[in-house]
Amino acid sequence: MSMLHLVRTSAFQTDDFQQCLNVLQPTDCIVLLDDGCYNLNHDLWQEALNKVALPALYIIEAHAQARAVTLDKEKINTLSLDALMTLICETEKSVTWQ
Amino acid sequence: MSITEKSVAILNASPPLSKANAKDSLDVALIFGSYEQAVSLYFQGDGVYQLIAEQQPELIQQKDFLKTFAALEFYDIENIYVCHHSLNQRGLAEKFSIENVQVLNQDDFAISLHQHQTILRF
Amino acid sequence: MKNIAFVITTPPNSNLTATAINIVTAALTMNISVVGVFFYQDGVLNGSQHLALPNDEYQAHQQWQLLHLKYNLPLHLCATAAEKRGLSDDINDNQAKNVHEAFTLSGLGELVELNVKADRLIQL
Repeated sequence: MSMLHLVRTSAFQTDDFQQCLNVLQPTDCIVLLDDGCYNLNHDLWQEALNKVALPALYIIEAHAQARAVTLDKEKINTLSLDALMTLICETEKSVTWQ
Repeated sequence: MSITEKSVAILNASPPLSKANAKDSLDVALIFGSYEQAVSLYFQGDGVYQLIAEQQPELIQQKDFLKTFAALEFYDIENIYVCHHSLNQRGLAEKFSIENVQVLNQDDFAISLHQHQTILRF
Repeated sequence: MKNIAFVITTPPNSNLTATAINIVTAALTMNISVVGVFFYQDGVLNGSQHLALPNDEYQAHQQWQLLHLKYNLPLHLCATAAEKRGLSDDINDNQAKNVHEAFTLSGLGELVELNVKADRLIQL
């Protein structure tokens, strides 16, 4: 059942992340990549933290650093693209919000 | 895994007319249907505008591809789900161009979407 | 080991495509089987032979070509999406042919086939 959500857009610009949260289930994982990294500082991030456990929330480290998004271990875990591929293989399905 | 065991969800999130996403998505749905794959359609966010009745795309130089929704049943695409929350946000009544549309509350919509192995979103 | 297929919808001049290339490359270098990449919508522009990006910019189209050469990675362009964007692979008309040889024009049915072959279909 568990689903991997690949979030590639900023919630400051589009409704994609809100829609993602609307279908998010407690066993799902979220990965922020590309402009999705900006969601870490959006009010909606708290909703993500409320819905799934911190170990299931990830951000692509290089994508965050490229955007000068400050990382906070209390809010998210970092991931390399190799680790993302492993995560994709481990989860049953994925949906891309872009 | 046999062909029929893997089910596909197509999640439609784009409004129908300005961008080609809705048309491109429908083409994907129809091809999966014609290969006899189990495919379900989901409409969320601005995607719900795709199914609203009495649109007149021809007034703005747009081919009326929305008529094609009526053909879905001939491709055995019978699971068509619309997010009630998205309709509500937009002040839309449940007045669709096709029958056989199921309006689901947010939780049921989410749970239903999770039943599929492949999800494509346009 | 899982079989993965990818659907790419972003054009070569988008940084989202660089991300997609990095993810596909990660899979290939980790010996994950990538059964194919299907380019749809503006993604088909990655297959154009005539792209001329400034030398100091990321050459997404060349990266796809390299992945094809190095890993024999199947690169399918949706034929309808390609035609709509002026791309042709007509071998009888050298003037018209403008799809790079690393890419194959395929029907949308190829996407269905990839989905059947793959354990996971990832959209980027």
